[in-house]
Amino acid sequence: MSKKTNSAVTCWDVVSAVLSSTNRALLHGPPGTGKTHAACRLGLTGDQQKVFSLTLTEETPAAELRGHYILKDGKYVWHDGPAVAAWRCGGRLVVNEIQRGGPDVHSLLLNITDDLEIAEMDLPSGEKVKPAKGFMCVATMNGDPKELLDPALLDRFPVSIHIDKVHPAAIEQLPNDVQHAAKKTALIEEEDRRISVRAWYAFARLREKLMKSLTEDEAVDYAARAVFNSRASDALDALKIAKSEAG
Amino acid sequence: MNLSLAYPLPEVVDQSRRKRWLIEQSGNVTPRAELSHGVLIVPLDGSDQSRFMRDHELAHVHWSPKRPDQQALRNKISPDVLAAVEDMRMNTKLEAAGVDTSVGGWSKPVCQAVAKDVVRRKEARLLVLMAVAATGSGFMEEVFNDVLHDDPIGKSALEIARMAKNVMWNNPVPKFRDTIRVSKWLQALLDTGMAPPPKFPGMSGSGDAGAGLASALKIAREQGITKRATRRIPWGKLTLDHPPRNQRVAGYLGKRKRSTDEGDIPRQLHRLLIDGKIFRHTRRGRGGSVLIDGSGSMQLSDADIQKILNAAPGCVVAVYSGNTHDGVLRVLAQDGRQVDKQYIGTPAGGANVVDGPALQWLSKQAKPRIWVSDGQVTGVCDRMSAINTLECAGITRRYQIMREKDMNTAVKLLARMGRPRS
Repeated sequence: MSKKTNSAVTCWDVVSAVLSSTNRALLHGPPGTGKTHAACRLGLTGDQQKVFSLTLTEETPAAELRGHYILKDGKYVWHDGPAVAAWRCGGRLVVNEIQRGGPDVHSLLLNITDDLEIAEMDLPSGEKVKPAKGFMCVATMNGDPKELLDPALLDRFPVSIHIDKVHPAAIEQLPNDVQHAAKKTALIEEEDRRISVRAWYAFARLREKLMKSLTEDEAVDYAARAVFNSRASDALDALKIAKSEAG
Repeated sequence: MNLSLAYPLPEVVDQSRRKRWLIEQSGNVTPRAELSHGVLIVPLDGSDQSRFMRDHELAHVHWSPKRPDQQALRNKISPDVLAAVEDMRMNTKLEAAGVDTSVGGWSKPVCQAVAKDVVRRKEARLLVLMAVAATGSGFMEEVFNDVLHDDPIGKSALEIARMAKNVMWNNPVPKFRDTIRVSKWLQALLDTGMAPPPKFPGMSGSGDAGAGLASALKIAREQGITKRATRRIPWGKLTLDHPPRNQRVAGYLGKRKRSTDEGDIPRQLHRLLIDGKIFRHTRRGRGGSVLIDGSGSMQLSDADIQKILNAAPGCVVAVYSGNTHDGVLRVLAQDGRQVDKQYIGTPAGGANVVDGPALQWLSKQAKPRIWVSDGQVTGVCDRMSAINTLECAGITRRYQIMREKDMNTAVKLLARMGRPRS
């Protein structure tokens, strides 16, 4: 990799470089920037490493993360949740929206993200499990972790990277004429003003499909109205102005 | 239907490295973009007029410099002139970029009321700036056109706005430097048109602001609106030459009347109850000043200059002409004395080059002030420009300078004014 100056190093360069070398990492920043995509795809230690992913809500029970009994062939058998499954095979556990978990999930996460040398868990089945070599946990969240996460849980993630740019791969998927707009609007701090990369992607795809049956102007207009609603004309006008030469 | 606020997207059009923009709803505040602070104050409702205003401010974010007020100061342009021209550039550039500007920023009744109010108040400068700023704003421009078209000043304002647009779009992609160029041209035109009408003794003034605007417009029309014609040419450096004035001149130009409470024949009885100064004494005039354009286009011979000197006893008389980058103004007569014959003639080359500074000199001399010139003025390298011509016209209007186009008319005017005695 060619050496970059300090100002040229982006958060994604850091993520790519460190994700394979740490067993706990937290990616935080505005939504729609590609945090989950990076957590699931970047820095895997070989093609065989399994990825277990889960998105937390306030209602998510700890059992969904750890595992629980299920009825199978008339018998109750133990079924590993994503956390225990990742522990067993040395896979990667991706926990999205980590700040949303309830108290029981919170205490389980403290256990799961403990130092690998001392971490262990007694399952309701009576089995004792320890994380296998290669296990790692990548958590993602929106907002500031210092405000939203419990200090003990935050302490479990010494590698905490603020994602302040949209992942270049996500931008490259978009047509050229909306790439710049997507890059800029996805990072707007105010939620009611932000337009995510997903929205731009949906607009571009819809526009392309509609152009097969409608005129270009109609296709652009309908696609924008469908995706951006009351902000359709502002989004389209901004694209037109941005396209023309500055100065 | 999503009824949330329609937020503009300055982040998409901003060329600077600013990371954060603050959007505020304008409410009763005039919509504007604070470019140096990253603040956009705009209406956020879903109406078409509000959309136009948001687009207009977005255009400023994309195309205007951060501190246009500083640029105005640096270029000695009035901020309101620069703002009007920049608004025109934004509107017309939005049109060119394919943004729908047809609805304008105000509703029809508001447009009509504003336009009619300004027409009623006869504020010529405001009318011109309004017509310029409304150019390219679709429906708003149409309403202004309808209202202003019926008023003579309004008609001139509309023509100036049309010319300003053409001057701007001389450049296929107008930049901010074109705003500066057009602003200088417009300011010169307004300064000339708005200068107080000259009041010459025994002569009727040339009318109100409307007449001034019309005469400035005529000059602008004659000079054309090419890029070259609308760029200000710097004046050459003026050197004053005071050769010895060895010849004594008898006589004086003009006479002054003074009211007094002493005398023989009471001629002003109406002043009895005012200040009691019912008598009038006639005294010698202090003369006036005559500036002769000695450039080649005037085709003045030494004898012609001598004729003017003879017709203006007691006056300050000077002749000027220029080389490529400088010029000389030679004082031929002053304080009742004039120079020897050898100094009577063109003081430098056959070019103008220093008309502006020479007129500034004349503006500081005694009244009545006469400028003998064909009105053809040039800056350095003898280049002509509408701005320079308007600047000179403005000086003549502001300082009540009468222009006579050749020697014969000048001599006739001097004879009429002074009845010189020998």
